[in-house]
Amino acid sequence: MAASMSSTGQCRRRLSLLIALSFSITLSLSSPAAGEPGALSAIADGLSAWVVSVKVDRSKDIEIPRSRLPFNGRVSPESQGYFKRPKGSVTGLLVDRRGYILTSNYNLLGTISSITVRLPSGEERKARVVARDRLDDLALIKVEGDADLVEKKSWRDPPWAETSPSAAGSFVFAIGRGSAPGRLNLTEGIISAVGRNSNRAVQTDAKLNYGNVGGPLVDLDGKVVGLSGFVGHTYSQWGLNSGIGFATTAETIRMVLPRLLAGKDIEPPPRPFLGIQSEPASSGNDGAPVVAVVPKSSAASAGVKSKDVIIRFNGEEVPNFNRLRFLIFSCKVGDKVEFVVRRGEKKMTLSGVLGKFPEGR
Amino acid sequence: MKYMTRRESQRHQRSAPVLQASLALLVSLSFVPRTSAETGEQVSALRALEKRIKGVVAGCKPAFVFIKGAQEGGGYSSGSGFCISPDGYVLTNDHVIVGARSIEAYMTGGRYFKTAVVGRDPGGDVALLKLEGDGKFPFLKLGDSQAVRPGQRVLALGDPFLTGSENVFVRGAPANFEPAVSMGIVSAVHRYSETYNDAIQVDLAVNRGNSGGPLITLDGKVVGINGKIETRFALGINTGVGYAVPSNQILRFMKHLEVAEGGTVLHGKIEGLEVGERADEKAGLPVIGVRQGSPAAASGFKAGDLLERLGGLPVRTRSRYKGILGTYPAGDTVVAEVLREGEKLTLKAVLVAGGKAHLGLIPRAIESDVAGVGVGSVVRSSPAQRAGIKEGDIVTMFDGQPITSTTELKSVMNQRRPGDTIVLKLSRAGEDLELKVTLGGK
Repeated sequence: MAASMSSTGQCRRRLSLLIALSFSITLSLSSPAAGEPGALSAIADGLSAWVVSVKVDRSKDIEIPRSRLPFNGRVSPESQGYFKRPKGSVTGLLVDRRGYILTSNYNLLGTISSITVRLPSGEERKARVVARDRLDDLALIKVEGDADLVEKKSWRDPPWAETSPSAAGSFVFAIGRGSAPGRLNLTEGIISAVGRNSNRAVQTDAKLNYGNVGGPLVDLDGKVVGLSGFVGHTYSQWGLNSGIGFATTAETIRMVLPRLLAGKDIEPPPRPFLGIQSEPASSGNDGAPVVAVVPKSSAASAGVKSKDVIIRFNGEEVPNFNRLRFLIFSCKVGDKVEFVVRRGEKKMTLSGVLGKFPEGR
Repeated sequence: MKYMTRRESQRHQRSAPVLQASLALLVSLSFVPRTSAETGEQVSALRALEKRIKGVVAGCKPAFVFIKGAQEGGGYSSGSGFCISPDGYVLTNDHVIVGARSIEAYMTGGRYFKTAVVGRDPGGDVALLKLEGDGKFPFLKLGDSQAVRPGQRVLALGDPFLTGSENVFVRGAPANFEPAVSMGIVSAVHRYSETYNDAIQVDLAVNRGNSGGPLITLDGKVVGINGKIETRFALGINTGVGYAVPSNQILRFMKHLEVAEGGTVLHGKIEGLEVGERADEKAGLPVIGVRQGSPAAASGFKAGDLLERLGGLPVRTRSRYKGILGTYPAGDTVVAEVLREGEKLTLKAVLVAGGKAHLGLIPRAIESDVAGVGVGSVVRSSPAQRAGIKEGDIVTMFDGQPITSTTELKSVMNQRRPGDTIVLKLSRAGEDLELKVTLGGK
């Protein structure tokens, strides 16, 4: 049985009790890379000092919207477990000698009752959340206690890559640590695309499953090019590998880390909002037809009326709604914008200031 | 893959002392470089491969096309495609664009192009599109899929989960229109899976949105179109089993796609030939029946023949038989090698379009003095629509034969085959007109 791969492709529907097996596959990937000789295990070992295992206990987890689940989540009770976050530890990266650890924010969602960090030495320490970066799917945690975790004279920063990968195709390795002492795991892949998340992340096909998410992505030089995350952002459930993985780049991390160390959260910037409802153009090439104008929005104050067709935006041609959306989203809230609408036979140039995307839309 | 075996042979030689030491010690220890001739060789092999992959990706990426089909009733079907000529012909999967009332295409970097359907092959899940615009488009060359071997390293370009054409990270931030590349190997060739008659099976990551994207060798040649995956539990995410339509099949259909005027091309079969389920130890597929007077009989097939090769390829099962034939368009001649009473014979079979002829008009009673069949509606992209038949027309003659009822129209249609060209006489608003229609297949 197979599914075609356009987003409207129909899946053949069949359920099986082998769901439990999928789980054990997800969690059993923590094979010891350390016992494997060669250049690749050297890459993993080179990162060993900074890669930690993080166990998160929670009283309540977040829910995946049912609309994103297979069969809209309507499955037999014994299959429900598939749609829950797996039990087991995740991975983090020690970024500061005082005991600050960076991981994916996704790993720390839900109502947390306790966080236990297992250090490479095998020592376990409780930790707390210091700050979250929801734009980059990062969270900073700190092991408890005021004393330095590593003596100043022994400490070195993780081997951050100096620049972000400039092109797709480089080899990368995702490194995770399981909860058992001495266990690192390593998966191989390439950089699939650069410049994701407005140039803050890269995409990779290195296998990322629940346990190694939050760990470093390293290149052939053993340099950390990013920290894996964003697993909740595609259609994979709870981090089941799809070959579509992401890592926030070292460059982005260097930029946001001081702010996170200071205990300050980072939020995605507000989304710009013009205030029209549209639909795909009938020919795909005749502008963005306005179906409705949101009252009090910038479109309304600019004088846009329903049945207008937006044909240019900030000097660029608007062949369809998709393109208009792209052009609007390339602006910031508060930007002054100019656009041309076709109303009947007439063409008119209108202007306005982009507002904030209303919550819940 | 040599380095894998080398790693295997040294499995027990290296331990991990760093992992048992204290953290402070670890931090300093971890900077000891672990170089040896062995690891150095492995890294340089990987670096050479990396350089090659990056070169292929950089060369192929500009020809990649993001495709969005605006569907009737709102919503988009999205997928991938790639340019195959400097004047903007694009290949994709048929299921990416089927049912779309208009198609938007964006090249790598986000440049938009108005796009038209040139030809569709629903039976092979391939569609040929044309980007409208001047200038030279970057394009990829189709390679020889027959030369593809299991174990060969391959790359896929695509837009999985729309990560290149939508910003999946922060809603409302623009996408960067960079295709995603995944790497893997060819797992098997000549796989048969529904409309994928002769698929290349790959283990690289292909997901929803990859459909229509190119499967590329490390020589930078396209050997297939990625379009299908095995998946369970309706998850629809990569399992390591993906299928691609082979380039040689696409190349055989190309001349038909180019002249299809937005319509569909036809697959063929050896009419009148009945074969067994699978070969026995004699290593040939048994011919169990040949219909008298059929094209198969005319080609010289006889019941009891052992079909050994078809189109130069060995045949052991009925699915492989159907699979090989599925890679040829109707009208093509396929060479069959058969064993008859110890003698090897070479036969030539002309493939005939299977299925029923398709016109694409839905009749409706229309009040008129003209005797004929009223056209209630015309099916979109059907032969009738392409020929210019319109709602409200009245069909009065079919190849010179008067038509007065739906039953008569059905009866003459039953005598035609997909691919036949017919002449219809119509009455439109009191005026007579004559249209030529090339019938499709269903």
